[in-house]
Amino acid sequence: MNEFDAYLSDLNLLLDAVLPGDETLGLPSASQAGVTSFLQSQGHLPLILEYLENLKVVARQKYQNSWDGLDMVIRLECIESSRRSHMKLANNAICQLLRGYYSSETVLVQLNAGSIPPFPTGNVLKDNDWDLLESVFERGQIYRTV
Amino acid sequence: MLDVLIIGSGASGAAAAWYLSRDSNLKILCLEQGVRLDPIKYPTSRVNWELDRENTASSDPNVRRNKADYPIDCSNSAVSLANFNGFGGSTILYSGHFPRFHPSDFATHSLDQVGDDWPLTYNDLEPYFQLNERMMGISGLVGDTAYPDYLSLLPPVPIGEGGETLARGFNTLGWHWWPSYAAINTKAHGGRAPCINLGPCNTGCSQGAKASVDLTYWPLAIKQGVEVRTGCQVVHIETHTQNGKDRVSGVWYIDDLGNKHFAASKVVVVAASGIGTPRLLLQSKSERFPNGLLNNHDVVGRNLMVHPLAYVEGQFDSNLKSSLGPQGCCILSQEFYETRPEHDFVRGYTLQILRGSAPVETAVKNFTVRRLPIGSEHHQYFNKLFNHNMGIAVITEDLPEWENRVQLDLKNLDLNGMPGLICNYHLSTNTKNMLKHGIERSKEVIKASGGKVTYSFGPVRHTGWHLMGTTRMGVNPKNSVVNSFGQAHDIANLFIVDSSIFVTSGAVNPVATAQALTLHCCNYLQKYFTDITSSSNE
Repeated sequence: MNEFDAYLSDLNLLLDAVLPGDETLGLPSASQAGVTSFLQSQGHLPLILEYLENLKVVARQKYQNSWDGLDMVIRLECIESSRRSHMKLANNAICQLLRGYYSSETVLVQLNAGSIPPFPTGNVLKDNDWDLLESVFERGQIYRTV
Repeated sequence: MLDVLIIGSGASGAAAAWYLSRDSNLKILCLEQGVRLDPIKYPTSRVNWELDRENTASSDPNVRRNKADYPIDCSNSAVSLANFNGFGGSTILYSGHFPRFHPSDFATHSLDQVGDDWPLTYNDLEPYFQLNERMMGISGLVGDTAYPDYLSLLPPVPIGEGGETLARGFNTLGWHWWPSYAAINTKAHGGRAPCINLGPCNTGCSQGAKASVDLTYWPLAIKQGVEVRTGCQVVHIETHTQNGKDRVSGVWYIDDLGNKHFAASKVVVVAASGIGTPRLLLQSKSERFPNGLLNNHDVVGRNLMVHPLAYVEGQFDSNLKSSLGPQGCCILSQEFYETRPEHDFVRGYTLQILRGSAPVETAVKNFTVRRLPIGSEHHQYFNKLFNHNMGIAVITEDLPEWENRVQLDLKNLDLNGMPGLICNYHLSTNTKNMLKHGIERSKEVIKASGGKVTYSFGPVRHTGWHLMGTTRMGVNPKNSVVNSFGQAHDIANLFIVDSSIFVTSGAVNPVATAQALTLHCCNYLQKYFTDITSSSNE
């Protein structure tokens, strides 16, 4: 595995630890949802790389293991631990992953988030029950006359 | 020579252009420092539209940094100022919440011994409110008990399950609520399509249902002969003295290629926003006005009002599909709009109900406050948060204060070398008490609606959208800049017609009142155009 492939592999481990797929809800994992491409297109890879290096240090120091040698549960623990020790870096990086994930068309479709841009169709909202305003009417004028 | 030169193409500049150009004899030019945007390219046409709200479509010019933006230093301000510099002005990014001021807003001193009375009344503006609402296409429901009667509106924007849920909460408390007045087509109107409930109005409406003035007033004004030059920044208003009186001769502007031009005009109408207008006046110094144009009494830039805003959010067990529909237009409550003796503040506030957050905002916001875990539990939690929240914005009436002001920032310049702005703004005790009261009442609404309060704070820093009062109108030239028709006290052929001339702020979004005021001023200008220009240097 060359250096780039190793980096991608480590990155995917991070993405899928933060946002694994959910079969019940039909949601893909972050790596499947194209978050890597998002990070690249938005220029966030240097930030994520810095964060990954930080996680590797935590993995070695706290768990005496390499990042890719951790199991899923410990990897998440490692991320949580880094949030406490390097809160700003960790939160910035994870927020970018969330932004990428929830901007993915695949994810938005699965979420039933309504019409997806470029919005070929809209959303239908039910007709409202204006009888709800009856008590407001009954009270009468509330503005001050001048 | 031009008959009328309008500075700024936003809400008021557009209304002025349309109204004045109904007289086909007038030669009218509008100069706009920003560019014309193509609605097809708005962020809402892309799947990652939410991200653009944090950069290119941000309402914060210091974040957005478009070519037409100028730096605004808000480090000494409780609220960070927002705007949009482009063809259509801030209506491109506004939410379209469009209520009028109330009758009492024009007489705060007489009624409550605070602020000042306007030199005009609600009744003076009423015909212009109606005209403007027809032109913009306003939806809502007539019969609101918080207002004198509206005559006609387009059908209201659907309030959705979220709106109905909060409406029931208001009913439980016995408090006023009403469907929002929205500058959003609910049926085809003015050649524009109806809203299809997409949600993200405030990054620009690709559908064209939101009434931004590039789609309402401007096509008609241009058809009536108005010329618009975009990318043209006015840097100086030129004056001269004639028969012992100061007169405007025209303006100096820099085009998008960096070339400087002079445009001579019989009348100049300034509509560059509540901060852009004082900026230009302060920059336009001369021998007769050494502290800036119309500023010999040190009033220009002062009395800045911004509607400090608090925010309360509730989470609900059921899926309300709350992210669907116009984000800022749902319902409003004016239960606490007017002064009440039992309050520890005078005047009042509007509760503007906001729909739920979009996916990215839901995820990031809740992750940041540790309400949304990462890892295997993430999706189940997200599912309980997304489409389950509703917000309440507390829009407080901001009273004019001498020390709240914008000034030129000679150290931070825009791309054409014109000074940026420094904003000094603090909250009064009255406002702080009002925010506190509004937060507590909003929490009551959330609870009465069956929700759980998840966020409550104020003032919210990045909410300085409503910019008012910096060149106020009045009868006394020593403490006001223009008269009741927007005509400068010091220069008869110079008019200001935007929200800069507000005397007080009301407690509602200002665009409906700003545009009605513009039409009122332009009616006067048109009626007396010959008299106003009779001594101009032709």
